[in-house]
Amino acid sequence: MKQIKNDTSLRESIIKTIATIARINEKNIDDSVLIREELGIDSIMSLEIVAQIERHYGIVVDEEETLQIKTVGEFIDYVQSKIINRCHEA
Amino acid sequence: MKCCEPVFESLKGWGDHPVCIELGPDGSAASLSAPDFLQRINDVKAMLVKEGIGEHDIVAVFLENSSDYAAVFLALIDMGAKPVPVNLAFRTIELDEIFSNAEPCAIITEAGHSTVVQPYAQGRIVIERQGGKWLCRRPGGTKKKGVAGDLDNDIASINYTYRGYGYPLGALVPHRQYITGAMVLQEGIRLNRGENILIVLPMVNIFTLIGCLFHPLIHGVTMIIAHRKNPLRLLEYIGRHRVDNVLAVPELFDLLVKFRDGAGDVSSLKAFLSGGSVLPVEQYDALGRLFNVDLIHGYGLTEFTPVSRNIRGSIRPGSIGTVSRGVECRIDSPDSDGTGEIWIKTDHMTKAYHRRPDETAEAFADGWFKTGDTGRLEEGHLVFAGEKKKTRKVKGNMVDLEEVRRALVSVPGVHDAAVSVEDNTVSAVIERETCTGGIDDIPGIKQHLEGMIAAYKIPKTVRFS
Repeated sequence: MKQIKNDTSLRESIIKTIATIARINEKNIDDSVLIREELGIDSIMSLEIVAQIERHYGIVVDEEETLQIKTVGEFIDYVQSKIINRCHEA
Repeated sequence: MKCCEPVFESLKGWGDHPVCIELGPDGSAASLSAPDFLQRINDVKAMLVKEGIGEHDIVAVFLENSSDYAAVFLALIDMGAKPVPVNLAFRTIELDEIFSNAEPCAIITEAGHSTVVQPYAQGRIVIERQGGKWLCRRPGGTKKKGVAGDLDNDIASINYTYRGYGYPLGALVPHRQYITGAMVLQEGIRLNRGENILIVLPMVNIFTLIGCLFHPLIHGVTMIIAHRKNPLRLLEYIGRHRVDNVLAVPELFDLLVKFRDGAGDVSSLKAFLSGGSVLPVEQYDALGRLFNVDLIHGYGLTEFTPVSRNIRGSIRPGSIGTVSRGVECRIDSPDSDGTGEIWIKTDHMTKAYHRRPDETAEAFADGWFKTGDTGRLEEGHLVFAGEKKKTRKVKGNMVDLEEVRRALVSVPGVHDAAVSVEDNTVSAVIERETCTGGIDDIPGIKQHLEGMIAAYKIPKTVRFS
């Protein structure tokens, strides 16, 4: 489990995870990019991304909640909120 | 014999272990005994009759995996109605065809899915499942026909599949397919009464209807129904519920391999049952090494499942197993390698597509079913080579390339499209209209497709020619 030093490292880490699993150059990913339409992330890739991030940050992601997420930026915000909640609960 | 009858017989002498354990998103586990499950089926049947559904009625079913799904499917069959299990991912292009072809008189749906089925509700009985309760809406206007009067009594259900025509075909699945399928599957996988099986794939496909519903219910195996597919959750479930067997597609097993390190106790596992996609030899090795299980891979189609399956104790990695007992198999027009189209013949298979005589004539000839898949026989084991028909399996889901092309050309501004699948990924090259207008950006085109076809069919990469 890793602690997040700041927003930039979290953002970079999530983008790197997405890029690796989707096999896309991370330079082509920014906050406004649409996860499904532009990156072509499918359900199996989503499962792997979510599991990777859960394990890395010690959080639990609700699959239903992630269905509403459209962009990479929204996903980063969602993960950040989960991390903050986890820290408050700890 | 109706295919529900051996299930009811099995439930009468079930034993103390539960029929079903449903794992909720919150981590809860709801257990259902055999007497309670039989009561559930009877309650559902009474509800369906009360709401106006009867013998020979065609009923579209839009339900998630649950004990309710199993109860509805068995109740409809017991009543002599014809269930049409529909993939919850389907959207207008698939649903327009299914509703115009099957003309169901009723829809049974998750309440959360009602906006998707709303355009088809007019004149139909709509029963919604919400919070463990059933809510019925009676039809306004003229009641739809939806009566399977032209179907033989030996037809259990209408299950939609693809052969590359660009639209789904309703396979008329006989009762014998479900019973025989469960029996010959058991001859391969050899599960013991009292064991359990973790179910993650939607029960809409014949592979899961037989492998996750009829097989466990007939053979005294507890169904553990997971509503989450996250590999970390699945590994937790395996440890917490002492899971014996898992049925999934190779892509999901691959995720279990990736997240095995650091996961909890998986020592309860005995077998992984795999189908729906190609399972490479390397994956056999990795799964066997990490989980110490029997990995049993097989092959089947909506028209008959399983055509072949490996036999526990004599598994041949890289193959789809030996041809099931009672199934004749031949390789048509083999090349020098012995690879050709797989043809099968059995009394228990689908013999026609609902109201599609031309497509039926192309697929079925002289008692043989031309699978549209290619393969070869190696020392009695069938080896899958690919698809001759214009469909592709993408991460366990069937994609009809012509249907995706049709969806693309219906997008304003798109003149034509070429669709292909490589490396488990759907891709498209688009030719634009010469006149201006329409949707001219790739994300916009993909968003347009979201309401038209299942998400797993939307091309990952799209480019203009």
